[in-house]
Amino acid sequence: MGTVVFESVTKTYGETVAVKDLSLEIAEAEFFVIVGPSGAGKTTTLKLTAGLVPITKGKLYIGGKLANTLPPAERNVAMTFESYALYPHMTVFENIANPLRSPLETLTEEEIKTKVETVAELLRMGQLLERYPRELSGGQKQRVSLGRAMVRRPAVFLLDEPLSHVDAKVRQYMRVELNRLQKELKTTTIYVTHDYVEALSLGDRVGVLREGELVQVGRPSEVYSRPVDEFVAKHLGQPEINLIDARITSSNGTVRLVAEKNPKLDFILDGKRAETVRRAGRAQVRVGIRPQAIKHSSGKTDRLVGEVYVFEPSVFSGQLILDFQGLPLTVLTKASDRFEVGQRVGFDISPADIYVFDPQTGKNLETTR
Amino acid sequence: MASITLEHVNKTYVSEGKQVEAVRDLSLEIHDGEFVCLLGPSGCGKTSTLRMIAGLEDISGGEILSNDLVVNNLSPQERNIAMAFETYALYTHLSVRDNILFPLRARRVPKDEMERRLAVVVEMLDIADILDRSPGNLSGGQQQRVSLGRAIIRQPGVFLLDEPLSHLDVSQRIVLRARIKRLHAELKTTMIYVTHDQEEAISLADRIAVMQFAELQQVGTREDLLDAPENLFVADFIGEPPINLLRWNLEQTNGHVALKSPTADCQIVLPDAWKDYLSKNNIRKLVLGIRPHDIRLTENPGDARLNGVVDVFEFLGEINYVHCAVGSDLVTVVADADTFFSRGERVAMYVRPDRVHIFDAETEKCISSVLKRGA
Repeated sequence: MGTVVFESVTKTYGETVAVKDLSLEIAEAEFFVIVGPSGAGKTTTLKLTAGLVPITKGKLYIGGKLANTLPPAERNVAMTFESYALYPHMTVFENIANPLRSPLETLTEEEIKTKVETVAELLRMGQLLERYPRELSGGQKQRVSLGRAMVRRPAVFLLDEPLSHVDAKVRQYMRVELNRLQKELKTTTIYVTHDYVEALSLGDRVGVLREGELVQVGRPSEVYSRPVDEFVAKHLGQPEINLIDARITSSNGTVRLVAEKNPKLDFILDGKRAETVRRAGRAQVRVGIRPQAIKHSSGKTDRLVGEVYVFEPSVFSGQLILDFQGLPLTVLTKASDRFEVGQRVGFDISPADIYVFDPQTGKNLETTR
Repeated sequence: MASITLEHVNKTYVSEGKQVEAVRDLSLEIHDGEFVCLLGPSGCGKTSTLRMIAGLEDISGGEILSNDLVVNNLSPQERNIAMAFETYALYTHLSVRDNILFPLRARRVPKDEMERRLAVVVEMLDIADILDRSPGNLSGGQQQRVSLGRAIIRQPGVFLLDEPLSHLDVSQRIVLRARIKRLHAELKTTMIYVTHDQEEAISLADRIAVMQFAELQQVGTREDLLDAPENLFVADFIGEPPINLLRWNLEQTNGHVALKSPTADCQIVLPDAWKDYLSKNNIRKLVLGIRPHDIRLTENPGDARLNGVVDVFEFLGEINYVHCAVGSDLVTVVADADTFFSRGERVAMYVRPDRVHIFDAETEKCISSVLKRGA
């Protein structure tokens, strides 16, 4: 029914390659999130699936059927757009009912009414059916747009940045609603976003897209904790991962990574990790340290001591920037911690928590085979 | 260096023949060297307030004082303030250097003094590499830094900042936010910063003034606003994920009062100190507020227990959100990044009864805050 398979799919616009050699299998009922910065080819991938733009090279299968040349209406997919694309002169009811009134459908008014009401209930907007789009908030418009996609019960939903134009609070609420909806409808969904939080929260699997290329695919926790390169590590996570240039020295089966800006920061890797890093044959690497991996304490026994450059509290955590003798380090702190500018703070970082990237290719040396 | 005092300030506009109140009876004291955020949704009056302080808008009523001197009738140039705008308002035909020096040239500041101040600003904002470029070729974050530089170089007594980060992407915003905070620590100049983003206000401000419907709702430190909100609006506007708001029934049990879930077998026995207030003021209907960060997944003596079933679990990288059904209510809890739950799993949640907030359902005033302040 709702499987989607890309086999080496490429899309070019003249000289520009929008999607490059994309191979991906999306399972029945899977919620697959494509995340990446603007211009990465996310929306193009959705449009290729919907049949709104032709595929340049490669094969696309929907529900096991070759779909390259199928017209949009025969693909059994429904797409929502970032800009909602509602009809301003139609009520919410008529907007949702619209796809059912296509010449391909042969439903009675009674059947249409039942279907629209079922969808409205699912999206908790039964009381909005008589309103016009101009009378709705951003979050409500987005729900109408989802309702219109859902009403035909397609095999695949294609959702393009549905939460990008609603405010933070509504976005959070809608994220929870979409999570729940997915569990209830069990319809295959391809969801496009630039927001890594949405990707991690919603995806059964996440695909990170960069300049038309799929960089990494995996479960959210996998992609977050084992990024294949610097790009993925930087794109997923806030505050951003610390990236520190380091020199490599090795002796007796261990490898020592020494920060260039401050040699007091060093890491010793041994065993298999040492071997992997050494085998890459680099004199320099870039060490990646997530802000939450820097453990701070007020104790004076710490090996490393930095000075508070700036501290920003938030409700659940705080962001601390330490000046470690010329090397800035971003640290995620607990909600209850308080720091003053200039204060000395001891900290430590376990070598187990660091990533080692190739400074030339950006690849994670330990996930590359 | 300057303090700013607003005394019963009003602002009314006439729009399509009707009087519109943009700011109503606003009194607020901003101390010398303080970082104050004006926070609220669009249309709450925060930008009108800032523009009145700047002298860009007339004041309809009340007084604005700078260092105890009424400035109502002073022009913007006479007020010893500098403003950085949401839109950067840079001169595109001038280089970054000339944009920043512009205010000094206009004031005929000597050349060596200009160069000295420029060096300080360049260092502070880390813009040495873009000085000779034209603003048109800069990223949003860079443009905003130039706009800040132009304000800083004047060495005003007060900085006014109007949503300076709102047009930037998330990473740029976080970087520049830290820079602004550091700037304040170095300059120790009074800053008044307008934003609709509660996270920004919490991260930056010494005190936050929350506005809604043209009125000041509450002013205080982040702890004041989180722990003792004035009313339902403030409680709901501040905090992410937002406070859990539950309409539970007020009931008597064994000489105590408790809030009881209408749809689940859960209750929170309220502190006895609150009981008298409720009966004295004849309050029957309450809204219960529990901040996600006040809910624990391990029990401490005296805790109330809420039994939930995981409805939606969100892995978010640095932190996880667990949304639990408690009867027909949804209660959000925050869990560590390495604590995972699956849908349908039973969860026991614990909360200290004196950490909950209760609001009068009619007036929306926060009763527990009144009692906490009285204690």
